Amino acid sequence: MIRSNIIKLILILVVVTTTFIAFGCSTSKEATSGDDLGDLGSFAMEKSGAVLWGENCARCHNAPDPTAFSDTQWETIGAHMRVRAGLTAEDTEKIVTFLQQSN
Amino acid sequence: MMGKKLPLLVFILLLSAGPLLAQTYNEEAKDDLESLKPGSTNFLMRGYSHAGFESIDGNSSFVSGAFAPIFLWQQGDRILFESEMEIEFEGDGVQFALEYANISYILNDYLIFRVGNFLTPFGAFNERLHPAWINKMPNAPLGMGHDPVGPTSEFGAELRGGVPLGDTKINYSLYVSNGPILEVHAEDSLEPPTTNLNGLNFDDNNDDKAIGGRIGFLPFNNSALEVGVSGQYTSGIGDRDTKFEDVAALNYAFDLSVVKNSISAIKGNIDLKAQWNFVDIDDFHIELPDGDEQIINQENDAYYAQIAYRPALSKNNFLSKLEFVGRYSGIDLTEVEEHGEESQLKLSGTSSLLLSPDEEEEVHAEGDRTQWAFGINYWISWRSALKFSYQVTNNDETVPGFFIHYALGF
Repeated sequence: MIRSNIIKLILILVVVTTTFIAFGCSTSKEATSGDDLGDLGSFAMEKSGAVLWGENCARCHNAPDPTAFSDTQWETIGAHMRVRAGLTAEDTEKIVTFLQQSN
Repeated sequence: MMGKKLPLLVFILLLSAGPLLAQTYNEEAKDDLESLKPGSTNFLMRGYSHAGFESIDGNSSFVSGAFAPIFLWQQGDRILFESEMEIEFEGDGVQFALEYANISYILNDYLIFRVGNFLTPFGAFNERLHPAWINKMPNAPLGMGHDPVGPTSEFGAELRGGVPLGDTKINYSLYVSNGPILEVHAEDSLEPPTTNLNGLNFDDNNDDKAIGGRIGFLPFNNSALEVGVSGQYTSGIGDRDTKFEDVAALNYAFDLSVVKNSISAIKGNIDLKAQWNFVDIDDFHIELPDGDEQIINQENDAYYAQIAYRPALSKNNFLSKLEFVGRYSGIDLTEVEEHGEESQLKLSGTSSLLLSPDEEEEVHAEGDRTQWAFGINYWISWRSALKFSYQVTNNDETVPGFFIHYALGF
């Protein structure tokens, strides 16, 4: 029992450490808020479909190759992923448009 | 004179016929393209398969390919039908199973109505991560697969969707369903009662419905972190008009996902997943043939944590396709003792057998086990991978296992 609790404690520490690494060590700039735009201040950029494709698909699986499916197929897959993974309508539309333009 | 003009005349006629022929060709091509224009009904078959070799506790075997087609049928922009079958070799034959079949109607940007048989939004593994080409290990964590702690599919109706909240996002699900079933064997049997949480309650065994849902919160605008909480409550899971009708079940789960790609400091991607499921069923009594009563208290839980690292930014092409995975999972089940001389049992996680009022001995339930799993995956493409895994499962004894699987999504 004690051994089991120690393992669970270690797992929690691993989770916290990994989360810290993922956010603390990230060096990729994501120009999505005014903080990244210097003097432009409060101006906020909208995320592109390409960025959203990378961020949202990777939450569960590798980001798909745009050439893997046709435009029509991407429409259906987008609807499916919106239902299954709880994607927002706006994100889904941008991702599908990006995939259709890149295949 | 005429003989000299004839070739010129033919040449002029050919020149003037060119545009006419081209126009005819263009119209034919246009007609062909029009015939290929998609209608408002789209049908798509996706799915996954896996096959490989396993050696568990020294018993080795090639394992046959499971085939899990997913049928998607979209009508217009709002209606989507989805269904998944699972076809695999089992025993002496082939087993067919319908994993889910449901219809979704997109009401607006934030609300989707779904009805039918759907995967329970209980944690994240069951609904999102179980397909072979998504799961980073050849098998599911303990208590999360086909012998789960917690519900896996529902017959019911659901509202779900994703909503942006400034730089954060939430996704949610709220459903009503037939809920789980408490299966109690005949009272002249010494078999312990069992509770079915796998969603096969397609002809509801009582009038009490389950209410449940999940809410996922993505606090950062890069969607790298998701924290989820799920719950399901049923006020009665026993058969209608039996003394078990009002036995209630409360299931809840917590899940976490951290995914960050292209971290230059570690030259790659990190993917961390964790989930903890709990099942708590009301105490109830069963009467045994000798007149004694047995108290049944089922409180089960299962958990896992998995971390994966892929050096995707490595300049070495081979190395950039490798992924290193570690997973720890466990399952704590209450064990209903067969009736013997001791008639009073209290079972909770690790069960306690009351030998006498002053003497208590902790008994580790037989189903309890933990598992370490380590794996290396080689990604041939974004949806196909070779998985090598070594796993050690600990119960009363240690059982090693070695797996080589090829997983393919399509």
